[in-house]
Amino acid sequence: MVDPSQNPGRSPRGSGLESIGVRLVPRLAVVVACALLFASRLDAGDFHTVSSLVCSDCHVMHYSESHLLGGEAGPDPLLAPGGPFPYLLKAAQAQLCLACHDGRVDVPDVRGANTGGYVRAAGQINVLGDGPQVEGTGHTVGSTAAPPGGAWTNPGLSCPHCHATHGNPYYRNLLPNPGTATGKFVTYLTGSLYTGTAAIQQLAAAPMVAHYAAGNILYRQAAVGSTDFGLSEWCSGCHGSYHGAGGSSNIGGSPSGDGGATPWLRHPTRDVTMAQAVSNRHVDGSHWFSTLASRVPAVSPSGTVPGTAGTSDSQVFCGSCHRAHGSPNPKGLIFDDDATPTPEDGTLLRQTCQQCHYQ
Amino acid sequence: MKRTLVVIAAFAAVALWAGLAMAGEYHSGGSLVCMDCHTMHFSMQHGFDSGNPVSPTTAPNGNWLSATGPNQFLLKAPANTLCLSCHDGQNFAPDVKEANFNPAPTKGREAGAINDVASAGQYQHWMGHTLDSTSTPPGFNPVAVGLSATWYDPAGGLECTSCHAQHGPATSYRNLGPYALGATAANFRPTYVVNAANDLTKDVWVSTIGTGTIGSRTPADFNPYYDTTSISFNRIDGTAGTSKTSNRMGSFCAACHANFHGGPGDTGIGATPSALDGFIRHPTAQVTIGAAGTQGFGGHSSLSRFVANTTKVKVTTTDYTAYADASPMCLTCHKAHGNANPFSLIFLNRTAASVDEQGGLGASQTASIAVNMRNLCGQCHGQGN
Repeated sequence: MVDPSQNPGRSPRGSGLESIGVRLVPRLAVVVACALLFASRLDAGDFHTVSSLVCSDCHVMHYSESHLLGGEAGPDPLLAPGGPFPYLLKAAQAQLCLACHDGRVDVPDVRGANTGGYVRAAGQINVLGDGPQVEGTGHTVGSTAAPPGGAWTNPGLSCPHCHATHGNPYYRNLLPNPGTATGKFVTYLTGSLYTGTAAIQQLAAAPMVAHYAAGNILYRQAAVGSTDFGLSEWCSGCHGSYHGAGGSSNIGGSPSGDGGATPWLRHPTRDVTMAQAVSNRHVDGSHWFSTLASRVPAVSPSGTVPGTAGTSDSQVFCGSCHRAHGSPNPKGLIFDDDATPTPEDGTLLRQTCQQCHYQ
Repeated sequence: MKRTLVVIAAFAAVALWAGLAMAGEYHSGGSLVCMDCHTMHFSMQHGFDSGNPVSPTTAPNGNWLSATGPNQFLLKAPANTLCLSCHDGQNFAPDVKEANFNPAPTKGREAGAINDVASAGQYQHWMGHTLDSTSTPPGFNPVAVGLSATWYDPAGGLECTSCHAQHGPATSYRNLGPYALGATAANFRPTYVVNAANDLTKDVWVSTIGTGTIGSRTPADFNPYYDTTSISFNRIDGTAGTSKTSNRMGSFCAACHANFHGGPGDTGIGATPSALDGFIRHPTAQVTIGAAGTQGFGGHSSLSRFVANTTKVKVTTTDYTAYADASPMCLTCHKAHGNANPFSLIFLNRTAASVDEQGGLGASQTASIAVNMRNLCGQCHGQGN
C-alpha cells in the first residue's frame, strides 16, 4: 500500500535510523527521480504488487550495502541496526513497513497524523508504546490483545496480518481470510465506470493524494446474492461477533431490519438498507437524505448515496463508523460534523450517530 | 638405457605440458611464458625474435617493455598495469576491464567487466570489483572459511593476483586461488573440465575451448571459451571452514566474502536444513530451488518456475534437465569481475531473448531498477507474478 513514488529513506519513529534519514535529504533528487520512474505503476492500482513489487524495497540479500543501487554512498538508510533480520528484511518486520509509511509525503503515511495532509480512507494506525490514549484509537501494531469480538490468536499485530506483503489482486493488498475467516476477500476496481460486483470502486489511482483519499473510495457491495461480500465481511475475520446477516444470532434483527418483532442485538453491518431503516423507524427519513455538507461512508450497490428515503440502497457497514487503521478518536471512530464540508471534523460521537438516526 | 629413459621422460613431460596447455587456461602449465610478464634487467634493446627495438607499449610474445620500472618481482610494469596491458584493449588476449575492446562473446563474458578506482561512466566502482581499491571486502571474515584472518590485506589495494594465481596451477579454473591463501588453497580453487561432455567431479564445466592455438588466438578463437553460454557449475557439496558450499567457485568467493556465504544452518545464513525457514541472508549453497523443509516451511522459490525459464541464471547442479538439485550460488546473481549494474548484479529476465553481460530484458520491458530487480529475483521467486 505504498505509493509508487516511494523511495527508501525515512527512518522508523523513535529509532536510531532517524539520524541516518536526515542524511538522505541531499538525495532528494534521487527520490524525485525514482518517483518519476515509478509513476507508470500508478495505473495498476495498489503498490507492492505485480510490476510494482520491487524486491529491493524491503529485502537485502546479505545485510550489507556499502552503497545504494544508484551508487550513492551507503549504508542504505532503511538497513536497520541489529540485523540480519528474518526473511532477509532490511529491518524488523514491524519497523520496516513504517520506515516508509510514516512521516513521508511521497509514500502514504499510515501512522498518526497524515504528513500528506489529505483525509485517508483507512485513517491512522498506532503502535504499541504510543500510550494508552493513542493505543485505544484503532489498530495497534505490536499489540497481542485478542481482537474484540473475535477468537483469533494474536501473536503481535503486524501489517502482514492484514496486507499481503507481496501483493494480491485485492483492495490494498488485503489478505484473504484474515484472522479466523474463510472465504473473505475484498475485490475492487479502479475508474469512474463501475461494472460487475467489485466490493470497492476506487475512482482514481493517481496522484497519491487522490489514490488514498477518503473521497476517492466508493463502497459498492456488502453482499452479492447470498454471499457475504466486501470490506465489512472481511473485518469479520477478526471481529466476527460484531458481524453477520440480519437475523443472525449475534446481530439479531432480520434481513429487512428489526421490524419491531426482532430487535437488533448489535448494530447491523450489512443487509439493511437506509430505506428499510427508515421503514423500521431507526433512521430519520429526512436528515440523512438531505443535502448534508459532509457525511460518513456507506455502501451503495447503485453508487447512489444517500438516495431517497423510499428507495435508498445505502447500507451501513464497519467503515461507516470506524476507520480501518484507526482515527484520532476512541475505537477508531469517525467524528464528522455534517454541517461543514470538511470531512471528519467532528468532536463528538453523537455527530456520527446523528447523521443517520437524528434522534 | 639411462639416456633412453631421460628421452622418454622428456617426451612425457612435453606431452604433459601440451595437455595442460590444451586444458584451457593461459599463464599455467605449458602456457606459462616467463617473458610475457618478467624482464630480468628491465632492459630490452631488442625483441626475442629480432634485433628490432621493442615498444614501450604492449605487444604479444613478450616483445615490449614498459617505461615504468624497474619493478618488483622483475615485472615489465607495475602489477595491475602489467595485467591490463594485455587484458585491456588488446585483440590478442581477453579484455577484462570495462567495455569489451573486442567483439563480445555471444552472451557476454562469463566474468564480466572489472573496473578500477578511476573508472567512470558505464563502469564504476560500485558495479563490481575495483582494482586498486583499499576497501575491506564486504562480508570479510576469512576465519569462518578456515583461512587466516590476515590472508588478504586490503591496504595494498586490490590486484588481479588477489584472485588469480599468476603462475597457475593448471588445475584451477581461470587460475583462481591466489598463493596468499596458503596451505589450504586447494579448497578455494575450482577444478574444471574443458570438454563437450561434462565431468560432474569437477567444479566448472567449460563446454568448449574455442579455436586456434592457445597463446596466439584472436577474439573469434577465444571468445567461446570465455562466453557465458559455455560455463556451467556442478553441484559438489562440501564445507569451507564452518560454511556450507556447493562448488569451489563459491568457496573461492567466500575467501573474501565469508559472511555472505553458506547454506541452511550456517550462522550467517540462518534457517536449518530441515525447516528451511528463518533465513537471514540469502543462501548461496546447499539449498535446492523450490525445496520445502520437513516442517512445511521453505518453498520461498519455485523450481518449476526456474525450469520453465527460457533464459536462466547460473546455478550449481548435477542435473541440467530437471535441475532437481539446483542451488543458487554467488554467480547466480553477480558477475565475478563486474558489469554495468549495481553490485555487478545480473538483471536477466527469465524469457530474455537478447542477453549480454548486464542480463537481458523481457519482451516489451523497459529497464528500471524495479524491472531489473524483479527480473533477477523472478528467475526463482514468483512472488508478485
